[in-house]
Amino acid sequence: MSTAGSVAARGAAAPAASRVIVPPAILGMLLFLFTEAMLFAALLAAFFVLRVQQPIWPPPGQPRLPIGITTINTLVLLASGFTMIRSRKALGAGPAVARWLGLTAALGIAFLVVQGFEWSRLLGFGFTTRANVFGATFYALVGVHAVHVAAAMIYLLVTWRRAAAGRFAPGKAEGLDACRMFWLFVVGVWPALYVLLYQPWTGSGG
Amino acid sequence: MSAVRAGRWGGVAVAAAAAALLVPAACAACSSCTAGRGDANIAYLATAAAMGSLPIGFGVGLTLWLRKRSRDMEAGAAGTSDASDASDDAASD
Repeated sequence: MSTAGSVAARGAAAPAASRVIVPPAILGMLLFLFTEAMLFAALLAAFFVLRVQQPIWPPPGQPRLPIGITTINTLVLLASGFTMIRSRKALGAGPAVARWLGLTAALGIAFLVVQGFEWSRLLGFGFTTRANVFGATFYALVGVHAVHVAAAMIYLLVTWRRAAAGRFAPGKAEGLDACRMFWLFVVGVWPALYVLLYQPWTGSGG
Repeated sequence: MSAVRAGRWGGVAVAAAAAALLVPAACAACSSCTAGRGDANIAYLATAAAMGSLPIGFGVGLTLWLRKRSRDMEAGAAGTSDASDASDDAASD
């Protein structure tokens, strides 16, 4: 029997079932988040190296960072992570998924609005990217994070619309899972930036 | 002929790069590692180590996770197959 014939015979006897170890959407999002983690790691590395080279940190003559409102804003973003987790757990419970996603989006928008308000005040006080090395690293880190929150927000709103249309169900929620991964990533990065840039005991805030 | 010439110029480039490393003024282009301050050097080396190990860690972690998922799926499929065989046997009995 020819090779092709034997292969055909084996295929007829036992058709090979295709296995999906990880859904493509999840694997793609995972690889994307790896690159994002490297981006933030590079920015943090630059921050550390630049900071160590400064004799006084933060550099003198700059406005105080708004620690109080930013702490509340941090809690708002962490709450949005909680509501995102709840949305996944509500899968199969009718419109609850869309409700939790909508709440997550509202909290994320509140975070972005407060961040923009803070930035406008700091810029008004003369704390710009050209003020000193702290200003440059502050706006680079917080700005890149804000861009990520905005991008994740667009993804979240699209996912919210799909959830409202009933596109997700148990066992068929790769889109929701990928969105959840992205959102939890931007939520998880923020506390590290908050501690490094705002908190007095790290020498940046206050 | 051209390969020989290219090899010669490659050797010259390597020798020039090695010579440049011996000139401290040229090395001063890297402000972090030649700042002459111990804490700056430590920060530079620590961040370089972290940046180097992070992608390797991601790659290894992803590979191990995929392998574990694959094995779990194989074990699950084998369990399902055994169960269906047993039920077929019971039905034939």
